[in-house]
Amino acid sequence: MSVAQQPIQYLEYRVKPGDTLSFILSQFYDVNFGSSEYKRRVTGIMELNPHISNPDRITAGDLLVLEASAGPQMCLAPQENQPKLFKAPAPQILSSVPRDSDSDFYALSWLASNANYLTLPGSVALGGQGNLLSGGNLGLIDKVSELYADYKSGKLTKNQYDYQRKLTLDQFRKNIGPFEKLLYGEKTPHEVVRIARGGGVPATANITANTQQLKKLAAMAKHGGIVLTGVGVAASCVQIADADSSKKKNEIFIETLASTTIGAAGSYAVGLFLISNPVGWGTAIVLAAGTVAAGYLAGKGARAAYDLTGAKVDFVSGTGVGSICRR
Amino acid sequence: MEQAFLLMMYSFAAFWIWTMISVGFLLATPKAFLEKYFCPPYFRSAEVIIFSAFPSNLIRNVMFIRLIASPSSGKVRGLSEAYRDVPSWLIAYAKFLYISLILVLIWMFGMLAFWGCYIAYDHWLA
Repeated sequence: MSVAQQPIQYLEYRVKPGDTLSFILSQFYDVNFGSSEYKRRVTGIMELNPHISNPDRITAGDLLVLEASAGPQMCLAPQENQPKLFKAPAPQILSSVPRDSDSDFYALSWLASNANYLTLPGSVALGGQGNLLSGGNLGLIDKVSELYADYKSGKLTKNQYDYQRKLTLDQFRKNIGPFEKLLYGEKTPHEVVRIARGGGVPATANITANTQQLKKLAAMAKHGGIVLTGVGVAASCVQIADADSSKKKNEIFIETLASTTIGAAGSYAVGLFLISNPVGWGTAIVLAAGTVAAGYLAGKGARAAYDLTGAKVDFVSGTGVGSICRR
Repeated sequence: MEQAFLLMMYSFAAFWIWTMISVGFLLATPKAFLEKYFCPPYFRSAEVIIFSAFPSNLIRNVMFIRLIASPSSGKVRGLSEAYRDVPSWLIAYAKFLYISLILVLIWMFGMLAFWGCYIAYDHWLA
């Protein structure tokens, strides 16, 4: 069978917000804007899609018919009984995604392909949460029970109990900072950690239940940093394994390495700053967000830099990552 | 340009090597020293909470490296005399880590700045 006799295969691609024709062509055919192959592909797309009058003006929701590409392997004549060399590009799956689920699909796709960016801030947030709910902080809640016992035994007056309860919960609230919303929703610790007035249950039932619940959450969250770091590394590894060319594998590797390194380096720089300049919650959150943003931009920049150098060096094979992250 | 890119990749490698070496400092920091100084009033409760678990304890490690290598950095927190409570070899270790971290960060962010300018030039001016 000759190459010319092979049936041409097509696929459908629904244009999503932010797509351009050059982006779609680079994703499906790995061609660069302005190259002769690019122009040939554009002409082909215009012929297959008569509803597109201007290739520079495609709109989100348009359905494009694209010629399936087998890449360089298509040049080889396959033998009888051999599996087809054609490998459908990943975006083909879009044709089977219901239109009204597009946004969910893209959100999940973004999450899957950017999991590495979530590792560092997620680890810090979860690790922080685990410590927010450490024994010391939970002890503050338990202290409310003890204060109530003292009040009931006559060691404290009602006013003394109210005042010390307020002080204790104020300290707890200060310690947990913005995590208060996450833990208690619209309520405050003062509203949740209170004596049960109804009959049939111990007066401290609410406090005990709250402490137990937070302890469980703390146990889960404390290991979150390690788990998330593992998830981020594994997600990048899967992306490298799934990439269909050495160039793409290297791009993913470099983007992940650069974003993680700069995120971590930014955190260290913040640490150097913090020892001589104590800051509050607000500034800390701004610094953390800035570090994450810098990591994200550095990842994209390093990938672009790699492409600008001609993508000659194979870091994935050279570092042994390729032999670890493979199918 | 390939050399410039490799130089940036080497800076990333240097950073992670530095991180591995700094773990030695994390393990070598006396527990009693941390219990004495890594608490209010020197640090806010929120800071103690945030910088206690992995991976943010590595940031705390960097803070203490600077504090011990450059005691004047702890002036605002009232920690400028804290270095007296650690052995002299740990002070030397901290100084080595502090200077090497500054050099690695300058190298890395310098390369990033170079590539940022080059990419911007290539996209908009070339």
